[in-house]
Amino acid sequence: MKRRDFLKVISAAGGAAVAQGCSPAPSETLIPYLVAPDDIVAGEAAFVATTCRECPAGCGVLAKTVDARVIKVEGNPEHPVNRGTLCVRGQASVQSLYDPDRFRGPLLRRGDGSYQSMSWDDAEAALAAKLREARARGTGRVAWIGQLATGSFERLTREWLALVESDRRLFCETFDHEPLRRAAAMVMGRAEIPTYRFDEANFVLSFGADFLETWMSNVEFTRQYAALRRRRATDPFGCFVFASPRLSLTGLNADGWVAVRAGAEAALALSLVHAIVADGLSHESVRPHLDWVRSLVAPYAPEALTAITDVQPADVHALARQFTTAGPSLAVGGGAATRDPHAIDLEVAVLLLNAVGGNLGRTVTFGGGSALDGLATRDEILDLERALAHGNIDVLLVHHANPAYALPGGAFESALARVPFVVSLASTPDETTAQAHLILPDHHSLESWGDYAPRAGVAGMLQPAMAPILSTRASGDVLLNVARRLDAERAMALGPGDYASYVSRFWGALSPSDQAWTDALKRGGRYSNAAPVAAAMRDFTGSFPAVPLPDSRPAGSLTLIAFPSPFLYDGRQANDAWLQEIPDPVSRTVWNGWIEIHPDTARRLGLAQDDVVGVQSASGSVTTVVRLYEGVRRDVVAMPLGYGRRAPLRNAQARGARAAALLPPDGSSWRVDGVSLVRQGRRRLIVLQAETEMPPGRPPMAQVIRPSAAAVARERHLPADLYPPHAHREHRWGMAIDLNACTGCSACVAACYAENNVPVAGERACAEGREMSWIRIERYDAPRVPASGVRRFESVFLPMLCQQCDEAPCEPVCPVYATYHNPEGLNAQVYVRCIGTRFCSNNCPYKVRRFNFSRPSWPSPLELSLNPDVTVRSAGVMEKCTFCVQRIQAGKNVAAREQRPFRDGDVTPACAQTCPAQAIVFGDLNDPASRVTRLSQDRRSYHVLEELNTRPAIAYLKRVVPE
Amino acid sequence: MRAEGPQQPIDFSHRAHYVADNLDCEYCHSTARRAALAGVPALERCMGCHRFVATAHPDVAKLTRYWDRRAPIPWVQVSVVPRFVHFTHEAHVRAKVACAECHGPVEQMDRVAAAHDLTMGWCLQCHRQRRAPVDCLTCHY
Amino acid sequence: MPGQSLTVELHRVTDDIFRTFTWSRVGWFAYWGSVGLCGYGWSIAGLLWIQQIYSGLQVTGLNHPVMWGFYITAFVFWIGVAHSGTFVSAILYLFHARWRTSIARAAETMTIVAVMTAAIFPVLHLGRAWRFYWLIPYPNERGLWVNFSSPLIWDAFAVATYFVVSVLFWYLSLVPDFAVVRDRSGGRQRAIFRRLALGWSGTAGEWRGFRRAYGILAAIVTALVVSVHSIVSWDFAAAIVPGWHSTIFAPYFVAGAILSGLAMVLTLVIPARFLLGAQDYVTVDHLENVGKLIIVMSLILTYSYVMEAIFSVRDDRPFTRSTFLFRVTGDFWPLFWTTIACVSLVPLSLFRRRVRRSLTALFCISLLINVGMWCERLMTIVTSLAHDFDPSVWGTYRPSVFEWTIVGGSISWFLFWYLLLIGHIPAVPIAETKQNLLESHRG
Repeated sequence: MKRRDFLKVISAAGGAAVAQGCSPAPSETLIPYLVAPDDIVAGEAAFVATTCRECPAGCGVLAKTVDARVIKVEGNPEHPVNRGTLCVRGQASVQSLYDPDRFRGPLLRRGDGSYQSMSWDDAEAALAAKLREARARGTGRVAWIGQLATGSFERLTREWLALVESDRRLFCETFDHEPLRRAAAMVMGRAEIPTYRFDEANFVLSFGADFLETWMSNVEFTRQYAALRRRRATDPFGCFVFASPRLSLTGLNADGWVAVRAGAEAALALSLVHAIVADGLSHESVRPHLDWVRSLVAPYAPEALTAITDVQPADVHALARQFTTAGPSLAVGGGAATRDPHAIDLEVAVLLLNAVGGNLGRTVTFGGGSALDGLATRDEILDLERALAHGNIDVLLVHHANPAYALPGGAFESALARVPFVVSLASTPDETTAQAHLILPDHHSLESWGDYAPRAGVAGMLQPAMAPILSTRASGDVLLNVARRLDAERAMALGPGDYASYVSRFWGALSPSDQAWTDALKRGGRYSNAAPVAAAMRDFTGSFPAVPLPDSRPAGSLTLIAFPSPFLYDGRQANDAWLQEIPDPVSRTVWNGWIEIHPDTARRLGLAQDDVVGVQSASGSVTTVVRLYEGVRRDVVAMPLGYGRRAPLRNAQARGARAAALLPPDGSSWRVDGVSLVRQGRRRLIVLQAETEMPPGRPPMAQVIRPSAAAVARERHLPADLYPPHAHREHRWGMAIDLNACTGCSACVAACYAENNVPVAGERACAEGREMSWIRIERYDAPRVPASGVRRFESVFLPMLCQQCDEAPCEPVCPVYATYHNPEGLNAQVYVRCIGTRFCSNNCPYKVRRFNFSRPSWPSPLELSLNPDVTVRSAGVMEKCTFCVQRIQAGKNVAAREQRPFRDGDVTPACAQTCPAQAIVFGDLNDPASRVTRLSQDRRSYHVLEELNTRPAIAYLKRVVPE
Repeated sequence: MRAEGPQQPIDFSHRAHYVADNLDCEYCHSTARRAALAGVPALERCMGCHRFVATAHPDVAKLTRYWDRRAPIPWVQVSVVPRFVHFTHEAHVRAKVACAECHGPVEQMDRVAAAHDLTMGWCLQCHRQRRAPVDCLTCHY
Repeated sequence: MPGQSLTVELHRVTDDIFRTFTWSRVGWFAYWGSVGLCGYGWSIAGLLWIQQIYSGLQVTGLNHPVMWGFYITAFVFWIGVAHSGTFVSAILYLFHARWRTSIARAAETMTIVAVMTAAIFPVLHLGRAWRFYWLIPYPNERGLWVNFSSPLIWDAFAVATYFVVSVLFWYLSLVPDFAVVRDRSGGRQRAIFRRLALGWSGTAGEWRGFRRAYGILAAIVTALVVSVHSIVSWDFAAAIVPGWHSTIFAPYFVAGAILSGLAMVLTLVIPARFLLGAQDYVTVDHLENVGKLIIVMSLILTYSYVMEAIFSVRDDRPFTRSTFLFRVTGDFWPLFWTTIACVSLVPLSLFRRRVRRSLTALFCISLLINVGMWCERLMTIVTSLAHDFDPSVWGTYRPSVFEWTIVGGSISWFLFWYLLLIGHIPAVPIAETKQNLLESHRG
C-alpha cells in the first residue's frame, strides 16, 4: 500500500462520527486523495495483519483501519497462538497507540533537568557522537536493555552492538520464568521453557500459575483450558485444582483450592510426588527412575510436612489420586511461588510431578523454542547493574523496558544515575526514561515494521497499520542511521535501505512483490508445526538441594505476596484508560490499587472495607486501600504489581501503590514476611459491583449445575402474555453465553469499549456509579469448606449485557419511541430520539442501560480511535448494547452484495469475536441450524431472572461445579 | 440550468463533463456501487484527462496548480446527511435508485446545488413507496 | 353577629373582604417584600437549572441505578398539593358542606399554582430538556408519534387537563366577585375588573346559568381529582420495579395527595387569615373541620401502609419482600420512619378537640404532614431503584446542592405566584359567603 498517501485522507465518514454525535453536521469540506491508494475505499474498513507486542505471548492481530486510522484490533484467525481472539490487554493496545501522553518527538535533557525538543538529525548525531567516544574508550562500554525481541530486530541489535564493540545486550521481562528454565536444565538437561498442552490434559494442577491472565500465553492457554472444561463437563470431581495462598482470577476458575502456606508450595509439590510414589500411583513410564525418585522425595512425606504446608495428608493423598487417575494430567507452577527462594525447587518438583504422572511428552513437551528462552537471567541483570554502578558503561540504550520501576528496590535506579549517557527509545514516559539524557521515541508497534516469533514454527509479522501520528521514528531506523553516521563502510554489513527493507531481507524477500513475502504480509506471518523433541528425565539427585523448611513465622505475623495485575500486567499498560476503568475481576476495583486481606484478619487488625492503610515491610512502606477477600489465607495479604507509577502518565501516575517497594531489593522474591498494616483513617471508595455473594432467598443470577443433574432436562418457565408475541419474520438475533467456559477475563468488555465508542467516565464518575460500560462481568461466589477434600470457592462469572428481551420492560415506558422492539428482535435504542427521561433504565431488571450524565470526551489524539460506524452519544442520552447492530447491518449488506442468504457466522459482535474461551455465541434464533439455537436448547441453558417473563434473547449455559 | 450551489474552489461544471464528454457519474464517483461513500475523485483522476484536455482553460490551470503543489482540493460538500445517519450508497444503487432521485439533475448543473433537503420525512416517503425498511435501526445506530 | 339587620351584614361582608385590597403601609411592605423575596429565590434556582442544562445531569446526585430522585419526588409532591384545592371546593361543594366556602378560594388558587409548579419538574429532570416538546403529539416531518403506552404520556395529558379544568373552575367562581370589585372601584382597577367580570350583572338568569355551570365543573373536577393522581401513581405502578409494581398505588396516592393538600391548605390559610384579617370568615370551626378530614385521610394512608407491608412480606417472589425490608432497615430507614411518624402517628393527636382547635398545633401538624409526605414519596422512589433485581448493581443516592436548591426554589416559585394571585383577588368568595348568610338567616 502507498503509505505516504495515508496522510491525505478524505474525511466524510472518517471524522464524521467523531465530533458531536447527536447534532446535525454543518456543511463540511471534502478533501480527496491526491493519488488514490488501490486497496483503500474511503469510509470502508481495511484489515492489516500484524503482531501484538503488549506482552511476550505475541498474539497475531488484525488491525481494523478506516480511512487509514486504526480504530480497533482483533485477533488474527490464522495465528496459531490466539486463533482470532485477544485478551483485555491486547484489545487495549489501541489505547496505548493513541496515548495522549506519548512523546511527540526526540528530546534532549538540559543541564537543569528540563527537556528540549530537537530534530531527528541532531538527535541521531548526538547519539552517534556519544557512541564514538564510548567506542574509543574500549569494548563493552555500550549496553542495550530492552523488551524481548526475536528475528530481525534481535539480529539488528546484535550486529549493531558489534559495531560499537559491545555484546552487552539484555532482553528483560518482569515475568521471565527463569526458575522454569533452570529447573528444566536440572531435570531434563534442557535450559528451556516447556510447551504445555492444557487441551490434552484431563486434569490441571496449578501452583499459583495464572495461566488464564498473565502467565506466558494467556490467550492460548485460555482457549486450551476452555476445551478441557468442555470435554470434562461431566467430571464429578472437577478438572482443575489451584494450590496457592491466594486465589487469582485463574484460581477463582478452579474446582478446588488448596490454600497452601506462602512459600511452602515446593514442599507441597514434593509431598505430592511422595504420595504418588508411595501409594503406587506413578505412571509406568517412570518405572526405571522410581528408585532414585523415591529416595529423592523420601524426606517429604505429607504427614511430615503438614506443619509447613498447612495441608492435611488426607487431602494430599486424595489430590495424588486425582492427579494420576485422570491421566494425562498437567501440573504447572508460577506466580509469586516462582519468585521465591524455593522457586527452582518448586519447578523441579512440578516437573517431577508431571514425570510420575506420565505427562512428559504428552501435556508437557520440549523443543518448543519459546521466545522466553532468550530472556536475560537475574544474574545477568545484577551484573549489568554492577557495571552501571561502577561506571563501566558509557552509553546505555533502553528499549521498551522499565527496570527502574519493575525491579524491586531502588538499586537499579541509583545505578542508572551513574551512567554518563542514557538513551531511551520508549514511546511514552516511564520511570527509566525519567533518567534518560536523550529520548528517541519509537513508533507504537501498530505503526512499526518488524517481526516476533513467540515460539518455533510461529514467525509473526509486524507491519504498520497506519502512518505514525507523531514525529516518532522506528528504533530500527535509528540504529541503522546512527550506524551509518558512525562508520559508513562497516555499516554496509547491515545492508542498504531503511529498517523495513532490513526486515524484508531478513524474511528472504527478493523483491517487494516476492510471493512468499506478500503471503506472509497477508497472513501476518509464517506458521508451521515444530515437532517436539524427545526429552528424557535424568537422575539429578546430586544437584538437587534438600528443600529447607520455610522459615517458621510467629503466629499472627503477616506475609505479603505480590501478584501480576491481570489488566496492567507489570504496569506497562497502566496508562490505558480502559484497563483502569474496567473493574478488576477479583477485587472489583477501578482506577486504583489495593491490598487483599481476609475478613477475619481485617477484623483482628481493626480494618474495614475501603480503609486506607499504610503497609510496612523491611524494605519500605506504601499506602493503599483495603479490599476484603476470602480468597487469601488468613496469614497472607496480597498486592498487585503494576500500580503506583511515578512517571507523568495522566491515567497511571500515583494510582495505587508500588508493591515492588515492599519486596526484597535483590529482586529474589515476591514474598516478604512480617509486614505490618496501619489504618490511616480516611476511606476511599474504589469499587464497582460490591456484591459478590447472592443475597439469600433470591433466584441466583448466575446458576450452577452438578454433573449428576446433567441428565435432568431443564424446567421451562411458561410465559403468559396479554399481548400477541412479536413476529420476527426474517431474523431473531440471539446469544448464548457458556458460564462453564467464561473465565471472567473481561476481554469482551474492552472489545465493547473499542467497537462502540463507549466513553471513559473516570475515577470520580465511577465512584458515583456513572461508568458507561455496556457489558459488565458480574461475579457470584459461594465459598465452602466441605467436610473432606480440598476447599472450594465456587465462583461464577456472569457477563451481563442487554438481554434484548422479547417482552422488554424498557420499551413500553419510553414516551418518544427512542427505544422499541425492532423486527429482528433487538431492543433498538435511537440516540437522536432519546430525551433522557431515564424511565427505561429504572424499568430494566438487568440494569444494562447507561446514561450520559455528562458530555463524553476523548483527549486528543484518542478521538482518532473512534469507530465511524457508531454514533457518538451526547450528554443527556441513554445508550446500550444492541448486539453491535452496525455489524449486523454490515453483515446483511455483504450477504446482499454477494446475492446469497444470510449465513450463520456472518455477524460476530465484538464481545463474541474476542472471547479467548469462545464462551459467547451469536446468531439467528430463527435459523434452527444455527449454533446459537442449538445452544439455547441445551439442557444447561437458562434465562437470567426468567420468572419476570422478560423472555431474553440471551440464553446462559449453567456452570458445571463438582458434586 | 442555473443552480445556486455553494462557490467551489474550482468552478467545476458537472453539466460540461456529462453533456460534452458524456462521462457517467460512476466514472468519477467510482465507489458508489460498492461502498457507503460514492467517493470524491482523487486529483490523479482529474489529471488523467486534463494533462492533455483543455489545459488552457483557466479552471484547469487552477487544477494543475493544485496538482503541482501536491495539495488536495477542498471541495465544499453539497449533499449532507447528519452524522447520526448511516447512509450507504451501495444499498441504494443496488435497489436501482437513480443518482438523480436524491441529487437532482446534477448533469444539468454548472455549480451543483442540493436538490432535496434530505430530511428524514423525505427519506421515509421513498422508503415507504419502495417497501424499503423503515426500521429506525436501518439508519440510526 | 346579633342585633344587626341582614343588609348591614351583607354590606359588612363586602367591606371586610374588600379590605384585603387596601393595604396598610406595613402590610404593603410585608406583602411586596415577601413576593420579591420569593422571586429572588426561584431565580437563583433558575440559574442553577441553566447550569444543569449546560453541564448535564452530572451536577445531580442521580446515578446508575437510581435514575430518579428529588425532581420526580417534587413533581409527585406538588401534584399532591394541587389536589385538596379542588377536593375542598368541588367535592365538599357537591356535598353541600357550607364551611368549605371560607377556604375554597385559597384552596383553588393553591391548586392552580401547585400544578404550575409541578409541571416544571418533568421537563426539568430530562436529560435533554430542550427536547421536551417531543412529549407532545404533533404532526412532524419525521412522521414520528409519541408512545401512548408510556405512563409519562398519560401524565402529560392528565396534568394538562387537570390544570385547564381547575383554572376554569377557579375563574368561574370569581366572575361574580370580580363584578363586585368592578362596581366598587374606579380608575384602572375598574377597567381591569370590567374585563375580568365578563359583563356580569347579577340577573336571575345569569345566576341560574352560573349554578348549573359551577355544578357541572365541580362534577368534572371531582372525577379528575381521582384520575390525575391515579395516573401519576401509574408512573410507578406500571413499572416492574419491586416496591412500585403494586395495584394499591392508585387509591393510596390519591389519599396521600388529598392529605398533603389539606395540610398545605392549613399551612397557607392559617397565616393568611391573619394577614388578610379574615378571621371572621375563616373561623376556627372551619379549620377544625379540615383537621377532621386530615384524620380520615391519614387513617386511610396508614391502612394502605399496612396493606403494602403485608403484601410485600407475603409476596411469593423475594424481590418485593427484600425491597420492603430494605426500606425499613436499609440505608434509607430514617425516611421510612419519618413517614410513619409524620403521616400515621402525628395526625392521631387531632382526635383531641383541644388540638384540633389550637391554630398553632394545626399549623405545626400541617407542616409535619407535608414533611412526612415528602419523605414518603422520596422513599418510595429511591429505595425501590437502589435495590432492585440485580444485586451486583445495587446503589444508593444522595441529593446534590443543585437538587436541594432547585427543589427549594420550587417552594419560592409556588409562594411567589400564590401571593401574587391571592393578593389581587377576593381571598374569600363574596357572593357565596353572602348566599350562605342568607340561607342561615332563612332558618
